[in-house]
Amino acid sequence: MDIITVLTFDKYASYIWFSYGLTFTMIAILFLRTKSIHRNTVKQLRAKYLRNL
Amino acid sequence: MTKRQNRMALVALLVAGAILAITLLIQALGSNTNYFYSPTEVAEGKAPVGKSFRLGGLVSKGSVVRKDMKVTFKVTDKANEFTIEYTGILPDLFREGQGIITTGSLVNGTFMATEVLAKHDENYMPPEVADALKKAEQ
Amino acid sequence: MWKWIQAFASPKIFYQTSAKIIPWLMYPFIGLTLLGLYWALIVSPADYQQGDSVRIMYVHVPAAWMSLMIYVVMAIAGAIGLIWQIKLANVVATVSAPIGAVFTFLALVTGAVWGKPMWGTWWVWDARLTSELILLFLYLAYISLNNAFDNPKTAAKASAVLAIVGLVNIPIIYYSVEWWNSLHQGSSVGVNKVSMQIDMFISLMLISFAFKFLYGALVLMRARDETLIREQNSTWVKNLIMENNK
Repeated sequence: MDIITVLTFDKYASYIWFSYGLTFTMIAILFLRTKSIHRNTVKQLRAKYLRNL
Repeated sequence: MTKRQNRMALVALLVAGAILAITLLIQALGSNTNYFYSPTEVAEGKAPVGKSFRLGGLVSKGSVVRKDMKVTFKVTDKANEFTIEYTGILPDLFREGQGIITTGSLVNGTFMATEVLAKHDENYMPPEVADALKKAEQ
Repeated sequence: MWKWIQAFASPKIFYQTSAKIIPWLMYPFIGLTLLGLYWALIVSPADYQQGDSVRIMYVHVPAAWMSLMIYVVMAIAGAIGLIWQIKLANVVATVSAPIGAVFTFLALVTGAVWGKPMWGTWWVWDARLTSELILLFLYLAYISLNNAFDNPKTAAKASAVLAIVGLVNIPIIYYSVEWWNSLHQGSSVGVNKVSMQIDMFISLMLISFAFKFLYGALVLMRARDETLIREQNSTWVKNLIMENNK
């Protein structure tokens, strides 16, 4: 039994892959959003400090 | 809109949302709480008459008769039994001995179903284990 | 002990310490996720009734657990912020809400995707599904209430009250399957029972712990960010940002 047959999961493949795909996409979005918020904060603070120099 | 009006609107929205949520909860907690009636409850006349309601129970062994898209089967809770008539696609879990919930109404003692949903329990196991358990029971 | 808490509550020390802690949350998250995916999709067997569709459980149930746990954390943190005026508690509450909302959304969607082939429907208005949907609305209400005020103190107070009131929904969700006849099945994992095969249970636990580490890492990351904003007038933040010429 090769891995491809294992991962096609009978007739439920689309349901399973959709669930896992959505879950980890949402997690990736959460993580990337957190990162980008941080970058934004640093950028804004730096701009503010430069203005007040 | 000013900031203040904005806030007022939001609070109003929240209050409306809270009322909606509480209404939904109370409805769920009240008479409609039980998502379905058992065959015994229906036999005792607890289910609404002439109105659509949900009937839940086990599919009796050997009672399923298929004719094209039309299916008839019996639903039991081991004390009372009702015959169900349904036309349409059944869920994958539908099988004899399985717990199901069906929506419809009683017509001359036969339950004319518009929807059949399969219920499953909280036990998960591979087929081999299920077979072994079955053998052990016999 | 108190000294230690005070030290950690000092924003600068918090900022420095948390930077070291975050990798120790992210690595377990990644490791547990990879192992969990391997266990959930390859090692664990198909169910005797549901076949391979049972694998949806290994993301659905951990997401649902997270949705409850994060709400409780959020409400407790909100209460601590309300009572003892601890800023960091307010930060934890605020940054938890979107994460909790995402997990609630995931629990609802993966549940629908699982329900369609098994139950025969995407959605029913039974007690479990309805109360979980209300949880999503609670999270969204919390987020919008938090954003409605310019003053972060007022926002924290108002949203903390909402979070605490909404706490009643949590036991309703948890016990809904016991209190009422619902289409949703009962709990498989309780305090002293596990009604599933061991590899299935391992898959569930691996992904569940992975999510918990992720939540910890995300909260710390967001909390560090909030610390910078709140402490923007202090010299250490100024030095930190101006030195880092990225």
